[in-house]
Amino acid sequence: MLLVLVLLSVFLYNIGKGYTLLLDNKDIELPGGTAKALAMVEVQVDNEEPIELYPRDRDMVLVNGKSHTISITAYNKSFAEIGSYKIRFKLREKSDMFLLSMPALAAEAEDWISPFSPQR
Amino acid sequence: MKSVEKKKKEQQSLPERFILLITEYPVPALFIVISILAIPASGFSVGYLTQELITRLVRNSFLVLSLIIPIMAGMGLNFGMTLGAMAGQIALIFITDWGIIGLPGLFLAMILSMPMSVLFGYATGKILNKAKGREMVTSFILAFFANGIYQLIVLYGMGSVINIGSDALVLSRGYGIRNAVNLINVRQVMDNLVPIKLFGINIPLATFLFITLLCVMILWFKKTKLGQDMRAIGQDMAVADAAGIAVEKTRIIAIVISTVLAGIGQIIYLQNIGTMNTYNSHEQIGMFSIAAILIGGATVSKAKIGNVFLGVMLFHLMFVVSPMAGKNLIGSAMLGEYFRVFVSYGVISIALVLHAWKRLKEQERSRAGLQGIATEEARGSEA
Repeated sequence: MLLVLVLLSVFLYNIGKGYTLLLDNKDIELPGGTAKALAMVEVQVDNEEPIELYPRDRDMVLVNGKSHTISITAYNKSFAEIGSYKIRFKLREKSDMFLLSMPALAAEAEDWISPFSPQR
Repeated sequence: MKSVEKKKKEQQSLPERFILLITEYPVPALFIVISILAIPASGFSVGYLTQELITRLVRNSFLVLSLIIPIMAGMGLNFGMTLGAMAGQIALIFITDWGIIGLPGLFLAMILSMPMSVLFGYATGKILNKAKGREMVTSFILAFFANGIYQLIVLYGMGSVINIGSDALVLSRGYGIRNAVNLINVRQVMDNLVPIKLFGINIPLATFLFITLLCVMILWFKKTKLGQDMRAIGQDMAVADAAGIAVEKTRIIAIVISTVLAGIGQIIYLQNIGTMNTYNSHEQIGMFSIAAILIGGATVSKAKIGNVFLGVMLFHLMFVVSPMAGKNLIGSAMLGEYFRVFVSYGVISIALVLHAWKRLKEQERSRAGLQGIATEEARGSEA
């Protein structure tokens, strides 16, 4: 009985743990050069409401659990679609907050997601 | 025996039955009369009052239901339920700190509160076994003592000895929990799980189902061996002991179950409100729950599930209507609130005094009956 409760607690902790995802559309330095902010990008995390980001915008979504899906559709200055990406990802690092860089994601860079800790 | 009573009841006319009902349940009858007078004076619409009552039913019923089992075991009204409420609050502080969101957070808080409630309940049960016959006053004072320990842990232990990382929870000095904890992560998650709207009234179906589940469990529990043992102890402790029932152990189990349910009840209560007053939320819970069950027609030695729901409705109806009735009648909402406090707690005092008086009379009657038997036996031996 006790073991069942402990296992259930661990399960509830994992599926209920909340994370803050910061969706960032700013220029970012990558190993291959600078990825420029996208003229306009529509971001959807899991089944949340889609969010529109313009250059230098940052927004946030709150999610439960470690596994998520992000879909982004990038547009140019005349609002013509230039590409769309859909990625399933896991929050592996020990942090409550993560920064998701949209330009890095569009550039298919590896470090498009990184743990984030606010300055105190 | 029951069929004789049934036949007697069938022979009674309707007014006679009505008078009997009022004399059997004077407290709910008085509250119904006061409510009938106060509702039109308050000027509230039926829809508004229904919504308020439904909200307060889902908020409080689980807590009040936790009082039934100790009453069944003859331990009176468990003021020690406050300790369970404290366990529930500590669990809510932890899940808020860890950032557990939604229903998983709520259920995790319930599971976390259980070991603490079991520990508190066990200690309460042990102490109450040393104070047989004075359980209510002992548990009442015990709640004050436990409050001191709770404040020590939450105000000094959390953030220093117990790791609490969230800045939103810890006081700026670096230890101690803030006075108000925002439960935004679990706010009304159970109430809004299956939301139903009937005639413009929101009905939190999931919470009602959870409460119904507890009612079914209480009914089932009454029929189990343990439940029967508790009833036997409630009727006569000495006879139960002579029959081989482990009286003290069973009484401890009754208090442990009540404390665990109170912990879960406090979590349901606070998820409905959405904010936790760290140092006060638990304090009034014992008094309010006990007031509600007494107003519902329960006594120190007898309580049914029906008493819980009737009591919560009547007690909280007074909460809603009396300030406005007071404002409309006397021009001051404050006077209406004073009136509610005066009437509510006055009626509770009367209920307790009436119960004590009835018990005394019954004891006198049974003593007189025994004396009568003894006199007849003496006469018989003389003859």
